[in-house]
Amino acid sequence: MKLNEYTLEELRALLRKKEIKTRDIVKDIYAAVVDDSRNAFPLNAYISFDQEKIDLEEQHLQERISNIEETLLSGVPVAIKDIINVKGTFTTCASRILKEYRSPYDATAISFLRNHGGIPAGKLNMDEFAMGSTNESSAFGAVRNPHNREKIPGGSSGGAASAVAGNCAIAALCSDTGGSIRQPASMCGVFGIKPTYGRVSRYGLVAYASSFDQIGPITKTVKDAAILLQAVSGIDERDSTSARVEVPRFEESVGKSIRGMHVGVPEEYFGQGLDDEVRAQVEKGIKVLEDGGAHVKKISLAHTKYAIASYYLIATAEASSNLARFDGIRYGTRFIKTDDINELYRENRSLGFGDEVKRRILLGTFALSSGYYDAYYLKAQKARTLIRKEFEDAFAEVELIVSPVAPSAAWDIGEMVDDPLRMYLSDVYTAPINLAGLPAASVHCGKTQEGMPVGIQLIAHHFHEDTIFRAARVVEGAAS
Amino acid sequence: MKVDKDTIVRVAQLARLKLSEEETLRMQKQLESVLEYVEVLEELDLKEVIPTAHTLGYTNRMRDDEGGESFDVHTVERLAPRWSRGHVVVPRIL
Repeated sequence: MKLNEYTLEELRALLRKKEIKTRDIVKDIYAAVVDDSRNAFPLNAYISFDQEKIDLEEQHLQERISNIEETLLSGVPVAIKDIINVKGTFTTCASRILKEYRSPYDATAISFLRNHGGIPAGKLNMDEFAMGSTNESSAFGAVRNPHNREKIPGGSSGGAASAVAGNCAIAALCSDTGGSIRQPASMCGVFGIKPTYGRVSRYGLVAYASSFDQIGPITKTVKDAAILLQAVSGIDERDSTSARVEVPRFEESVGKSIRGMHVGVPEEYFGQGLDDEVRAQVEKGIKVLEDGGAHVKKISLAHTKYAIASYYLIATAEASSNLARFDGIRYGTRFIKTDDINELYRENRSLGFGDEVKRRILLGTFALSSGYYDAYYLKAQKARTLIRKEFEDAFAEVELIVSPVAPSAAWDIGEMVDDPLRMYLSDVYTAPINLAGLPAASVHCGKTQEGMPVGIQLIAHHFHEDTIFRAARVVEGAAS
Repeated sequence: MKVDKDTIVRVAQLARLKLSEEETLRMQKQLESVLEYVEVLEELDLKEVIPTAHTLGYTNRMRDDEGGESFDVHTVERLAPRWSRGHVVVPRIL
């Protein structure tokens, strides 16, 4: 077996015993990436992968940390979604406007990763500025699903899920604004967790919608994610929304019993629009939790039907504000020469941004514009209050809420390109979680008859990722 | 809500985006369908509801006003698409 096929936990053990070196792993990953690029339908999971530079990074870290084997990550290479700044690498956000932007600094999550002996290794493809559910909006081309290369891998962290599932990465660090970690993890049959808002610093994560954005891992196993999340979590003075809470030893939750755990199943998440095969797999997953000793009961989250409207108005409003900074003046690409500043702005942004990004900027600008603010943006923030409150009430009764991740398994590349609203509606089960800032994960629970993976979503109360890890391990154990 | 072409033109101007005729018409249609969809929020009674400011209820957090690390001028120079004599070059704004 090649080293790229191992889990983070297994490689850490080998590194600790000094049986292998980081560069052996990087070599095998690189060989897998090159090999895949020769496929008639390549995964296209990476935007950049510089083997020499990764080896150099490892060398620098070895010099800085004397006993790297004893750290939490022990020198394991971790692939990074191309929206997180890693000093010296291009951070393109899969956009033409940033194709020449080389990060002058590390995101806090990357500094923490390094301090725990992790090596940033390659930058992953994604939907442009994390806007999309299919990974088709990348300026660097669509990503394919390793389970069926004619299908989408999901998005926006499609490169991450595809690379981890296709053994082109050991583990990945990604971002989730409305489902961007969970949905691709589900569609590629890997594990992904979006932690509580504020658990991981957003400093150095290129902002899409600041009140939802959160960094988290996509990994081959639940245990790997627990290790990686523990490494990158923690307080950061550079992010005013960083939560001032202790980082638990997540690793220790994996394998703990769920006997007596109170689990809620919201009926609104199983209504019309849910594919029957997905429903069957998710119900199977719920049965596994029940068999593991959990008390499962039906609950109601009646405001779910308002979540997508609230989410897309707020997310696009925040995006229109956050993306105002990309004008090709101080950094990024300047496409034309002109003496007119407004022309320069308009040309740079029109040539630099793709279709989906323009659409969201327009929608967000509209929702915030004079005369429409009260009718759209403010109303959406009020609806958000009701949705948060409803989750708050539910967590007074249960410790965990379970649901599907997406209404269907991965669909064909190109299927929804001309129908943005239909694509937005596919975030119906993941976006409400971001509205409430809750932690949630996707764990693989089965496959459709066509052989496409299906994940089950596990949602816990704020800062109770440990509950998710416990339950996820039980589902994972039954599925394997 | 009905979205006319002038609205798209005006919003694009605010957002500093240049749209082709084809893009304008397509965005008009797509935005209209999204704005029709979000009308579902009209069903809610929101009169007494306080809008969310922070999802976990945090309020503004201030840090001490102290100097910290910053980029040196060479880093900024390397990032800038156009640079001359220690400055980023931009068209006249006045």
